[in-house]
Amino acid sequence: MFTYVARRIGLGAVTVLVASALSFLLVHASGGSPGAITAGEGATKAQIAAENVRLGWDRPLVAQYASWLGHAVRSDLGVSLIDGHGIWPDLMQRVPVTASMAVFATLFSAILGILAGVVAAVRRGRLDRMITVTSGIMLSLPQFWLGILLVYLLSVKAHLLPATGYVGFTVSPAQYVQSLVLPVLALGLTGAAIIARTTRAGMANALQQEHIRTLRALGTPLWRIRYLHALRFAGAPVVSVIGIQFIALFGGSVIIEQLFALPGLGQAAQGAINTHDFPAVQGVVVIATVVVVVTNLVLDLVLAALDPKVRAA
Amino acid sequence: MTGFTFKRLGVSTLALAVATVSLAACGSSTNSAGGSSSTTLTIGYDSDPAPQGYDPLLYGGGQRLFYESAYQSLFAEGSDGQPVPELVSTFGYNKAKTRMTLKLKSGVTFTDGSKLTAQLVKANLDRRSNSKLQAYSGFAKGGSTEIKDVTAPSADTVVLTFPTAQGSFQTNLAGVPGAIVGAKAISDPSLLNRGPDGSGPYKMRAAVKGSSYTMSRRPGTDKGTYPFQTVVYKPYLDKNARLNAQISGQSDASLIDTSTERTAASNGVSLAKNGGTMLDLLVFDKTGVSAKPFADKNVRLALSYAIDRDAFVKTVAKGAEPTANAFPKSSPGYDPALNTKYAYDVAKAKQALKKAGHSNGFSFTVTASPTDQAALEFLQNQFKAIGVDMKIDVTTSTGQLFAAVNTEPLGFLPLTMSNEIGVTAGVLVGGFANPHKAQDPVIGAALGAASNASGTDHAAALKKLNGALIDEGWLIPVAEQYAYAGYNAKVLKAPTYPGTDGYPLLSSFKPVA
Repeated sequence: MFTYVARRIGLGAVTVLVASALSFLLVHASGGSPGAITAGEGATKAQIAAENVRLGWDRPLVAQYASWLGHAVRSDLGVSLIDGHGIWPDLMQRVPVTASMAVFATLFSAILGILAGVVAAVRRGRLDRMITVTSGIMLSLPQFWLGILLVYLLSVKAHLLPATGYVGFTVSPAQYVQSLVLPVLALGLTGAAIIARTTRAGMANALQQEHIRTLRALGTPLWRIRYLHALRFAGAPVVSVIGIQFIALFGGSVIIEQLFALPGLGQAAQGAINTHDFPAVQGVVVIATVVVVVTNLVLDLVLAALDPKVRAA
Repeated sequence: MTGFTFKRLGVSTLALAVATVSLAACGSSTNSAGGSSSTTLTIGYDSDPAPQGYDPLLYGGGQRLFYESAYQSLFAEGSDGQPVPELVSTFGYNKAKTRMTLKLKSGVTFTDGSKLTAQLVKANLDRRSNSKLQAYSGFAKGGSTEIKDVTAPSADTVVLTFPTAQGSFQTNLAGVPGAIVGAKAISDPSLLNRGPDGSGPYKMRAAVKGSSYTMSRRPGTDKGTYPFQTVVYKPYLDKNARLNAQISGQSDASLIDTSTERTAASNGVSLAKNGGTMLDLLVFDKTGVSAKPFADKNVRLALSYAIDRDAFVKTVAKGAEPTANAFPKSSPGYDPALNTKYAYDVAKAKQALKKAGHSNGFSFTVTASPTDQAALEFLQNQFKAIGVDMKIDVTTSTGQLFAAVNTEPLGFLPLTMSNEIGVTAGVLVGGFANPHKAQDPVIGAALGAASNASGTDHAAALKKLNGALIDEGWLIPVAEQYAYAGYNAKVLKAPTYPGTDGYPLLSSFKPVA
């Protein structure tokens, strides 16, 4: 197991390195120059060229990348071309917003989805049909639409929750929870539908397995068969879906962040791309890559714990 | 056993849900019921007011409301939109109107502890060669409102020298362009990345970039003029998020988008409105560099005749008012005759094209933001009727939009005409809307005369300038849009706008009781 974990960590580090190099190259290939941004609208060609020299844009690519990497490992992602602020502290202000939203939405969808999937597979009949139809409807609803509906019902009409904004946990734990309820519901309900369907299929398959039938014949309590043996057997695809969902939520909730005016990574990425803030774009890419790599690592470890065959693969 | 487990799970889930909603409902009473206490004013802003730091000179009129909290200007916009002295106590011109003398107020202190002096004002205005400081573009070298020289002959006297006569230069020093930054930040502008350094009524207490900016009233500030102890600016770039925040009570006042004004009203939001934002086709290329036909004024006028402005408003700009004027309806330079002169007339448009030698039409491309796509598609159909093929390239990149100014003949933009001469000089003639540095003797003369005119001559000169911009085809106005401020009438009195400005005055926000 130790070798397996070490191998996975090594592979993760290489992935981050490759992704950072690729993002560095893509930013350079996208055209334009940082000097044109920092020098201002009416700047002359000479002024732009001078700015590019000041920013090191004229140096060889390898030298630029090596310098950037050297700083990045020391938590220094450079400064924004737009406001001159450090990119690392700015992104670190935004990570908790997106992370809170992604973690709670994933937890919410996992609990609700697994619960609904198990009930559907175990109970069958009318309850199964009801869960299947409901999850089908939830899957077809776009998250932003669900968000608009939730805001209308719970904020605009019922005045139960704030329609927009984010309050940090350290500022007010109660308001922190309030600010997250609607975005988490908007993101988590569709996620729960996917997990419910995956769990239902996995459980239905698991309950047909010979070892489950043997356990039943041996008189093992039903709850033990269902929640220890069958659920563990059905768990691998469910865990994969949960992991993928977390990654998608972390990197792709721009619309939800915009709808709820949440100052998260999605908004930072959008702003950086729109203003051609090259170092900031690179910073967001690197952080997103680290999240993907770490999530995949955790996912692999959980899968390995669930199924020993994975470790041997 | 299984049934029992499920029941237990169900009960636990229900309990968790009840607890969450209770917690939410319990805490929300502070948030949604009042938006803010009577000592706090929360404003939902339509953009991030400090995306590049807190130097007011980096920005334009759209950020004026925010920077009014932290900075004072040499002149402020009065309730009628006319400039009134703020940091200046008295001012005057020499006989030739080529020199303006400003006497400064005494006892003004900045957040860095420095004092207002003539040397500081000179140091501020001497930054006008910095191409990054957008607000100074109106004074740029070679422009009709150029400041040639700034001197500080005594501790409280500043003298501005102009290459050409100026009749009402104070208009250009009102609001953001006249904002004065403290001495420490002038010597080290990087300090403005951390916070504002001004002499305004408020001092910044906390900021979460792009999310909220909290200002506290400075000791000694007149409580009658600025009754709120705290002002919180919350940027909501999404117009629906801004509207939701206003309806649900998270904001006391918000800048409401025209397209959401009816929804706001039907949800009980009180609205204050003001005209002054012109929806224009700005002709960037008057010399034919990017599209040859545009060098001929008849082509530009043909496009103006081809637009059915009434239909445009009914279809894609509900709530706006059709206009062929460069200046707003409330401006002294507004001329109703222009609306008749450039009324929708396809035959006249085709005739003008023929005169320019393009009876078979021509094609060109415009770059637009997704917000303007529908408006441009409407105009595209109108131009098609006279044989002109306008291709639309939609982009979400601000960089691409700005770059298009240099490579395309025109663009569709909302232009706030809060200062007719300032915008003409700083944007249309000497600014970003004239990248090829085109010159037009008619416009040049009209702008010079308007800059020089004062008193009763002012209105007539503005009218001439308005006519010159339209008749020379430098600008193709389509409609005048209203700017809306939504407010909670239980908490606030109706805010007011200065003149034709699209943003209310900070000092006009007053609590009801």
